[in-house]
Amino acid sequence: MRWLRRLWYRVRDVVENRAGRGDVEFAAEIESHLRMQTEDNLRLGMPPEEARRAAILKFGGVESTKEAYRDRRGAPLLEQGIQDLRTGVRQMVKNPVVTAVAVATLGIGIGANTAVFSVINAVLLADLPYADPARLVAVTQSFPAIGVAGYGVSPPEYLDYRDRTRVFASVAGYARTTFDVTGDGESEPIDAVQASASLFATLGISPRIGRTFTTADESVGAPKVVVLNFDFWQRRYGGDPAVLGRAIRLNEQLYTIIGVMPERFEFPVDNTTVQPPPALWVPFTYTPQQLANRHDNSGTNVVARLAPGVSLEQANDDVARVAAEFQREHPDIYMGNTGLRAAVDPLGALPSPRAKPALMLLGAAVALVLLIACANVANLLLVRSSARQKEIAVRRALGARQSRIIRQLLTEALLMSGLSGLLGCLLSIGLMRAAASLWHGQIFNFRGVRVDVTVLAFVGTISILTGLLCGLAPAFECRRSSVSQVLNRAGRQSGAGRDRRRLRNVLVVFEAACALVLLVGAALLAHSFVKVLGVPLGFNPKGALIVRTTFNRQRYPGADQRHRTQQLIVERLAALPSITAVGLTTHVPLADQRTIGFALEREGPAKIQFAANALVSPEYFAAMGIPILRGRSFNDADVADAPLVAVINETLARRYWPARDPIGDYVLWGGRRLMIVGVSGDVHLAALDTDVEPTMYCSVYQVESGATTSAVFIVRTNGDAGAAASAARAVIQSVDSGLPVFDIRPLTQVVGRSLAQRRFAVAVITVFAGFALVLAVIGLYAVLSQAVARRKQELGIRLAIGASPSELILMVMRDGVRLVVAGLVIGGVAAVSAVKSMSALLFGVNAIDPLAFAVAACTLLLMSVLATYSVARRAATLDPVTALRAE
Amino acid sequence: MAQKQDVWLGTLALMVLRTLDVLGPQHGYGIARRIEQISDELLAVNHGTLYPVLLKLEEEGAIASEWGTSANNRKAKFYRITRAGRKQLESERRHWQQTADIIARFFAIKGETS
Repeated sequence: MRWLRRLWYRVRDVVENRAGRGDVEFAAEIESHLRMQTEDNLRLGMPPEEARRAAILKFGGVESTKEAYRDRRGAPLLEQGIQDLRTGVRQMVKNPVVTAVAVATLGIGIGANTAVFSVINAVLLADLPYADPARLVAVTQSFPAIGVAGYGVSPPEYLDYRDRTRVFASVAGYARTTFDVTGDGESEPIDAVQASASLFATLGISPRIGRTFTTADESVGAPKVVVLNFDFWQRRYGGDPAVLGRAIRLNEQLYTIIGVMPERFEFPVDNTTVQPPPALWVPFTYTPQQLANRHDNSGTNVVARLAPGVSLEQANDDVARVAAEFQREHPDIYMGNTGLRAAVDPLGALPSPRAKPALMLLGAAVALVLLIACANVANLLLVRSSARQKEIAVRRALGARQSRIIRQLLTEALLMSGLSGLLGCLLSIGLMRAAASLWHGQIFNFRGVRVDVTVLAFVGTISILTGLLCGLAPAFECRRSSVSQVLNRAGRQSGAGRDRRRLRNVLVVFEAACALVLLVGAALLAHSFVKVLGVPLGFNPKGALIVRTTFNRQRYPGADQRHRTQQLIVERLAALPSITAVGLTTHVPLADQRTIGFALEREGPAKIQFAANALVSPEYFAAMGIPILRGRSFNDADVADAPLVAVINETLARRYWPARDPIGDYVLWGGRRLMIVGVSGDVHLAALDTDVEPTMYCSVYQVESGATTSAVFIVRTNGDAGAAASAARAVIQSVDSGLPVFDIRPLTQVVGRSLAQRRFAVAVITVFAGFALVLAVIGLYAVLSQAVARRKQELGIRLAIGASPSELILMVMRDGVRLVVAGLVIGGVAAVSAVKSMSALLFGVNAIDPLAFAVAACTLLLMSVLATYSVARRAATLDPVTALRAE
Repeated sequence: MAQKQDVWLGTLALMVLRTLDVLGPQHGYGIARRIEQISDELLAVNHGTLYPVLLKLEEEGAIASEWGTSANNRKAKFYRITRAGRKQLESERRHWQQTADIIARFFAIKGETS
C-alpha cells in the first residue's frame, strides 16, 4: 500500500509540477541545513571559510543530493513522456503547413479505412443476434451430379433431420414467404417467415413481449398466430405494447398477434441483400400432403443448434448418415442425379458469393492507399527531421540516450497520427452517412453499419500503427548518423546523408509500386464493367415499365378467377392510349429468379435437369422484345384445359437438342407433361455477368404453382413513363381495388440496379487509384525537388561551364524516371500476384489483361514524367550565379 | 547492492522516525545531529543522504513537513511524525526485537549435548 501512496505522490508531483517549485524549495532547505552546520562549526572555533567548507563536506555532494532528491520526486517516465508531448506540440505548431498536410493526408487515409472496415465489420464479421451463435448451424443439401449446392430441404426431409439425428440439441425449420398485409389502408406486401415452433428456442432469444409458437400452433386447424419483428411493430403499430391479442389481416385471413421480438433480432440475417428483414413469423402449418411430398425441396431450410461437445465434423457425419438412410428408404425418388448430399455449415449471415471478394478488394485497396499516405508522411517527417539534425546531435553529445531521442520522434509521430485518427473517425462517420443516403437499398444494406467498439478499436490500432510507421523513418535514420559527423557538417548541408536519400528513394519506389497495383485493379474492373455493359440483354428495356402486384390465395382461391382478372387487366392496359404493348410474367429478368427441376421425356422422369422458369402470358415475348426464333409463342388456345405447352430458350434447346429441332418433343415437370412449341432468344435472368441459364417458359394461364401468386405486368409505352405508371396503377385498381400495386419502375432501372454493385466497385476503386496516383506523384515531386535543391551548387557549376539547359533537364529527369521505372517493375510483379485474387470479380477479361496493365503503367509513367519534367525545368532555369552562391 | 542499500535506507528511516518520536518536530539538520549523537558518532553518514529518506517517508505519509523558524531564528523545514508513522515505528520495533531475539537464541546454543 505504501508504494501506491508513493506513486500517488509522484504522479501528483508531475501533474502539479511541484518539481519546479520543489527544486527551489529543496535548495532552500539544503541552504538552511548548511547554514546551521556552519554556525555550529563557527562555534567550535573554525574560521568562517573553513566552517562553510567543512559543512559542505559533511553534507556530502550537494549536487548529487539534489540529483538523488530529484530522482525520487516525480515519475521520470511520465515526466519525460509529457516533455516529449510538449516538444511534439511545439514542433507541430512551428511547422503548421507540414503538420496540416500530414494530418490531412493521414486523416483521409485513416477515415477511408475506417469506413470500409465498418462495412466489413457489419457485413462479414458482426455476430448474429442469437444466443451463442457459434453453435448454430445450417443444414443444406446439394446435388453433386448437377453441381448445385446450398439447397433447402423438403418437409419430410426436415422431419427426418429433426427426428433422426443425434447431434443436435434442437432443430428448427423455416421457409421464406410473402404476405399482403391488408386491413387499415393500402395493402402492403411484406416478407415473412414460416417457422417451426422450435425456431426461437433454437436461436435462444425470447420475445420482447408476449410469446412465441408452441407445437400446438403448428397443427393445421389451429387458430392463426403471428409474431412480429421489432421494426414492423414500430412502423405499423408505433411500438404499442397493447398490440398483443390484436388481429392482423394477412392475405385476407386474420392472424392474432401473440408476440414481438426484441430490437435488432432478425432471422434469417442477410446483410448483403437490400431487402428489409422479414417482418413477421408465422408457424409452419404443413398439410399431410406437403409433409409427404419429398419433391418440394427448395422451400424449407433447416437451422439447428449443436449439442454440447459435438463438433462440426461429427454433425456432418450424422447428417450424412440420416440422408443416406432416407435415400435408401425411398429409392424411387432419390435415384439418378437427384442423389443428394447433406452438409452442416456454421450459420453465417450468408453473404452473396460476390460480396466477400468485393469487400476484401475494397479493404485491400483502401489499405494500400493508407500505406502510400504513410510513405508520403514519412517522407515529410524525414525532411522536417533533417532540419533538426544539428539539434539532435547536440542533445546526443550532451548525453541524451538514443532510445530517448527515438522515443521523442515516435511520440511526435504518434501525436500527429492521433490527431489524424480523430479526423479520420469523423470523416468515416460522414462518409458512411453519405454512402447510406446515396446507396442504401441499392448496393449494401447499411442498416447494421455503425461505429461500435470494434470500429473504434480499429481506428485506435490503425492510428498507432500509422504513427509508428511514419515515425520509424526519421527514427531509423537517426540511428545511423554519428554525432561528430553531423556537428562537423558545413552549414545547411544538413540532411545530405546518403542513407537518408536512399530511404526517401525507397519510399518513392514503394509508393509508385502501390499506386500501380491500384491502377491495375481499377483498370481491370473498369474493363470488366465495359464488357458487362456490352452483354446483349436479350430483351429491349427502353420505354418499358414493370408493375408488380400479388394475387394471394385467399383473395383469389381459384385459378379461373385469377386468370380472368389478369386477362382483364392486360386488356385494359393495352387499351390505354400511350401503351404499345403489355405482357405478364411471374419473374422479371435480372430481378427475380426461379429454378425448377424437369426431365426430358425421352430420358425418363428420373433424370432431372435444372432450368430457370417463368410463367408468362402470350404477349410477354413481344412486350419484352424477346424474339421467337423457331415455332410459336403461347396463344389464346393455351388455356387451362388445353394440352400443356412450353417455350424454351436457345440455350436449353442447344444443350439438349444439339442436332435437331426440339419442337414437338415433350418435357416432364412436377407431374406435368408439356410439349415444346417454340424456341425464344436467350435472356440473362440472374445477372449480366453470369452465363445465360437454360430457361423454360410456361403459360401463366395454364400452369398452377406457387409462383402464380406474384404477377408483374410489363407495360411498354411511347409516352411519358410517369403518366404510364399512374395510368397502369389506376387500371389495376379499377379492376380490383384490393390488389396491392407496388414497385413500378422502368425496365432500364431494373437493368441498372442489377449492375449497381459492379458500378459501385469500379467507381470506388477508381477513386482510390486516383488518390493513390496523386499521392505517389506528389511524393515523387517532393523527393526530386529536394534532390535538386541539394545539388544546386553542382547544377550551377554545370550551367556555368556550358551545359545546355536541356542536358540538365534530361539529367534530372533521368534520376526521377529511374525511380518510377523501378516502382513500375516492382508494382507490376506485385500486381500480377494481386490480381489473381480478384478473378472472381472480373468479367470477360483475364487477370493478366495486357490492356489494363498497359493503361495503368502508362498513366503512372505519364504523370511521373510530367512531375519530373517540371522539377527539371526549374533546375534548368537556375541562375548560375545564385546557385553557386547557395550553400 | 540494491538490497544492501534498501536495508540501509530502512534502518535510517527507522532512526529518523524514532528521533522524531522522541524529540518531537525537528528540522533536517537537527535529525542528522541527533542520529550522530545517539549512535555515538559511529554512524558518520553524509548528512545529504538523509534527505531522500525524509522525502520517501513524507511520500509514504509517515512524517509531515512544514516551514518554520529554528532556535536561531532561521527559516527551516520542520518534520514531525504522524500517526501512521507512529504505527509503522511500533511495528518495526517489534520486528527488530523479534529478529534480535531469534539471532540471540542461535548464538546461545552451545552445541548438542548427547
